[in-house]
Amino acid sequence: MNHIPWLTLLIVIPAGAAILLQIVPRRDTATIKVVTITATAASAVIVGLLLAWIPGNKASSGPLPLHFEETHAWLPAINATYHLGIDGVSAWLLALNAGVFLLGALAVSRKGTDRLRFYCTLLLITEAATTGVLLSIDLLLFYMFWEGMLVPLYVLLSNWGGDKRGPATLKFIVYTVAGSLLMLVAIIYLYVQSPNGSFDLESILAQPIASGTPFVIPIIHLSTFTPKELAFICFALAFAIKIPIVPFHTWLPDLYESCPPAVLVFFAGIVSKLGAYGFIRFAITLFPGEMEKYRFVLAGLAILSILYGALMALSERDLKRIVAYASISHLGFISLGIFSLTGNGINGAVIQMVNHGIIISALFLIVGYVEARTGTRDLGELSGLEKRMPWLYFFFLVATLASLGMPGMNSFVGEFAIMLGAFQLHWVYAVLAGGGVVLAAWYMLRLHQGLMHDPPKPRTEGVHDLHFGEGLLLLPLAALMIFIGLYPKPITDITKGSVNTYVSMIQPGASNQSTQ
Amino acid sequence: MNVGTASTLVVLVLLFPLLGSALNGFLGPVLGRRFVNIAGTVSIFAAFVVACFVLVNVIGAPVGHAFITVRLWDWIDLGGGTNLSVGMDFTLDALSALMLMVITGVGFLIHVYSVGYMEHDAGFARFFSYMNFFIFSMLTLVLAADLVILIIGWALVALSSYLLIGFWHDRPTAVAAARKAFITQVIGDVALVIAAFLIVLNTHTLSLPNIFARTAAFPQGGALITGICVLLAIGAFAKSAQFPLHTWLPDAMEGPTPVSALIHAATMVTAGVYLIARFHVLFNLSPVAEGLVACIGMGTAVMAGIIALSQIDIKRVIAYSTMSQIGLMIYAVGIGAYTAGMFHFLTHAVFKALLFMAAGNVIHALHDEQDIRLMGGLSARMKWTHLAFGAGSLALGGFFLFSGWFSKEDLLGFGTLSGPGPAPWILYAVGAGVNILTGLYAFRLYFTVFQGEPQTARGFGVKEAGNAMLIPVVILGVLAVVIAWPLEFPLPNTIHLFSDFLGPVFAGSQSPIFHAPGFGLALLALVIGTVTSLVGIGLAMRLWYEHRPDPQVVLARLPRVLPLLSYNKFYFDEIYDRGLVRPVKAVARTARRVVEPEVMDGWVNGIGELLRGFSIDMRSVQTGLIRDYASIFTVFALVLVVVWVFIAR
Repeated sequence: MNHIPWLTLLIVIPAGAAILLQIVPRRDTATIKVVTITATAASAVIVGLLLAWIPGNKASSGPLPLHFEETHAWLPAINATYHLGIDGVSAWLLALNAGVFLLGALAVSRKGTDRLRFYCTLLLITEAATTGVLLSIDLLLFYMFWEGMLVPLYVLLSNWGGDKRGPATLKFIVYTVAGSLLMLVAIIYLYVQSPNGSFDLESILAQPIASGTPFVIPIIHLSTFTPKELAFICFALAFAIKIPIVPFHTWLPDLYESCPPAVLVFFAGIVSKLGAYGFIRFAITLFPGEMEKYRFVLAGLAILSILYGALMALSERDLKRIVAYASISHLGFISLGIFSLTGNGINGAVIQMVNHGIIISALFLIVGYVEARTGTRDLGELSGLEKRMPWLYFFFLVATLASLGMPGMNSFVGEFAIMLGAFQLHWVYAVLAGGGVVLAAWYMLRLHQGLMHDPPKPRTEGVHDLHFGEGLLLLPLAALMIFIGLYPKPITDITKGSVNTYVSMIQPGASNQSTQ
Repeated sequence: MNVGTASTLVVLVLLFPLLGSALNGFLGPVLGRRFVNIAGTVSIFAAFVVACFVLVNVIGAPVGHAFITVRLWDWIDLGGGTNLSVGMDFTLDALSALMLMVITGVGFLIHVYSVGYMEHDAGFARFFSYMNFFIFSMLTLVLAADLVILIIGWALVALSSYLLIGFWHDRPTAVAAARKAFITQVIGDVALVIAAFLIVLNTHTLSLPNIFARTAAFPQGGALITGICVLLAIGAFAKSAQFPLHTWLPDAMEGPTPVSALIHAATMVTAGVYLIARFHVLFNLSPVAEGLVACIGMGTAVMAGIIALSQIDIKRVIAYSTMSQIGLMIYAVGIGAYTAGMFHFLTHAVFKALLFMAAGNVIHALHDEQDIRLMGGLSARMKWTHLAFGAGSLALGGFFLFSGWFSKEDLLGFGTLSGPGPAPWILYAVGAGVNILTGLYAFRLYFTVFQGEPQTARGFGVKEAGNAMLIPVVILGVLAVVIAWPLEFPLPNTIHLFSDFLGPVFAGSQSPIFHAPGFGLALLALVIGTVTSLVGIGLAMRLWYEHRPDPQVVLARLPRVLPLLSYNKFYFDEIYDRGLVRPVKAVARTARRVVEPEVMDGWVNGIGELLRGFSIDMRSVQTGLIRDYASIFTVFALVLVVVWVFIAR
């Protein structure tokens, strides 16, 4: 079966389905839904198969141990290649990616929307682009998908967004494009500097790039950054904006606020994780020395994200903004794990990326259901939903506990490993992150109890419980939150080999110290 | 006991309550009250039966083999060493068997009681689901053989406590109390997690048997081991409501009374004692941490005793008494008297659950009245409840030959020699003071509620509770009298069945500050303890039964600050509110109102503004006048020449 280009299929299926949708009549919503769901489900099945095959599959012998590699010439003139491959880290993110788009497709099919065909087309194109981001090993190809995913997202947001969509989308696009353009400059720098002039990550890694001499400011003779450091900073900025890390985060709350829940499921589910993935895949491999040099600063920013996001979540009143800031706080944990540059931290970060995708999707679905029933997102106007909506209460409880890092649930696994990694970096980081955990309990309970408990208010009188279909969307998410909490080993069994490779790039031989 | 039997027992004892919880939660509302009553109690009874098997197996095991660890599945494996590697490990030994017996045994009685107590509550299915889930969590906690699994149980227990405190979720006070309890627990969890980090980075393992086998990594009395023990102790203090993390427990009385009996008296709050006993190997390496634990335990015992004297809510009085008694247990494990601490845990679980349930009967009979000033004279109308409450009070007050007397005098006796210099004697004197306090507040409650005349009209119309609520109370009432007789006598070389059973668990290492007293000294301590308890009870009788002098008169003679401090619980709630909660909220508000728009958005918008301003400025250069262009051209040409000639050359 190895002659089938599985990875290309993963990109082609959603893209092809998007094209196929154009010949379906606009009013035939049933067929549109079937095509969309089939395409996203097919991708999910393939990813599932790939995950099952990885343990038995022999990895490539390049600098990065990759599976299911595909290499073809793409633009021979500038030596850009069509080079795809997955490893333990991207495999799980691919699974998350396939999952959240399937969920997004199901969510929109259940509820329906105006201009459904256009919507589904954009959803499928977004999936093709994010899949491409996760698969690309060639830097130029990666950049193309990275920028490409903004287009369908922009159209989605500007057509289906809420009241404040105009300024919010503008801010998002300008912010991220500014970051990406810096990254493009850095990519070109790497291309020029690499001995054989290549965009391919593996061939750049084969012959490390010298860091060059630092720029010196004339007259005062102050040494500043080396060219390679500048390139690293460009990459880091692009990824930090995408995650986002405080203080590059202000696009996120506004955007999430004006974004419809069905879009948020995959937007919040995968897009923010791509920045973190970029740090692991490109920043650590291409700039190990720079990562090590700046790890304390970066980890400090991650801590800032954790605490600042938590404090903002504690004082906001809008449900979506609370979840958005909670998300920033959680993404701070993921970043902290990566910047700890330890096996524990990075493994934890990968687990936590998957977890965060699951939890945030569930939370936004729940917020969407509440808003649809009560017509408001103001925490002050909502209370006492538990009596009216026992099933929503149950799912929300599970999601709340998962989100606040309840031991026995999925987030605990990730946060425990991340904080252990942070502790290995310096104990202060772990203690501060612990403060973030306490704040998380506070703001999540404020949200949960505010919605669910106390006597009902006018807005919450007479609402009805979840429909069967709505519950069915939440059920697999809740089940995963519990299952991963009890048995996280399947995830880490696949990630740990790749993570060891990354860690050993930074500290050669560090991964071999693991003796009893 | 082989591994196969052990894993079967572990799975079964965990499975029954979990199954009960799921059945009640998902099917209970559909299948109705009878189903829930049966599923809720039978599941715990089944767990109790399994626990009995465990006990038999542990007792019957040959010497040195009464400890077995089973792995149900691998939890995570990042390669070992400093990389995480954790298994779903559970352990069976004398300590966990004891905990199993108490949790399932007392738990079962409380479940039966709940059938009566929740008879008229619409949320009965949810209630039993949560209660069963609590038993499951608590069993996970005491069976865990890996620190991570222990933390999971530790937090699940806090979760069930949260759910049950906030059970009546349309009461804002209950909701707030639940949140407070949960957040306090999370602080404890974080301390445990960080302790786990220190342990795994130094011993390369999180499995409890391996940690205890690799203590060579920790220099005796060093900063590292002291840090670990202090962090573990913070976790224990949060769970066991010890100073300074104690303020959640009285508020937790917002939950239904069976919850207070099960979680906030008998089992969960004693988990801190269990934790320290479980980690005795580490605590024995750090005398500093042990001393700290002992002092905080004794300090909390005094503080809670003083507060209990002035509270007017029947459940809060018992809650503070719980805090005080757990303080004594914490003191015991702090000085290294682990079996004595666990023995007090056993008797306390019985008589405190009894007191809460009897109080529940009173509250029920008076239609949810909890203010003791409005009670009184109930002894004639609630005969059985009165007898049981009296037995519980005598046990709590340490009356001669009641169960509390055995365990309390036992642990105080061990305190006479344990510690450096004069410390043991000071702590012992304080302990004797706690005896007086205990007698005082226990019998203030008893006399105010049951003796004298009814204070309201409702008091004349009360009826004894129904059978479901009475039988468990009576059973516990009998146990509160007799349970300690066959087990242990607080003098060396007398009856010591209990310490023979539990002793081997703690035999491996000895606390450096622990010294058992000889027969003579123990006898002296016993006499002093007995007399002080009697003094407390006698004083209470004079004040609140005979009113010679009347307590109001005594109160008026005391300096005003004492009753104020006691009544206001030493102002801890106010201090935490002003010093912690409000500042964090203020910072959060500032972040939203100022930092986010001005700083975080500010710098991004600033760049935009800068570029816009620059382009506006540039626009003004485009005047269309030849002379402007010519002069700009000349100036820049000159600058170029200067640069070229003087700098770039």
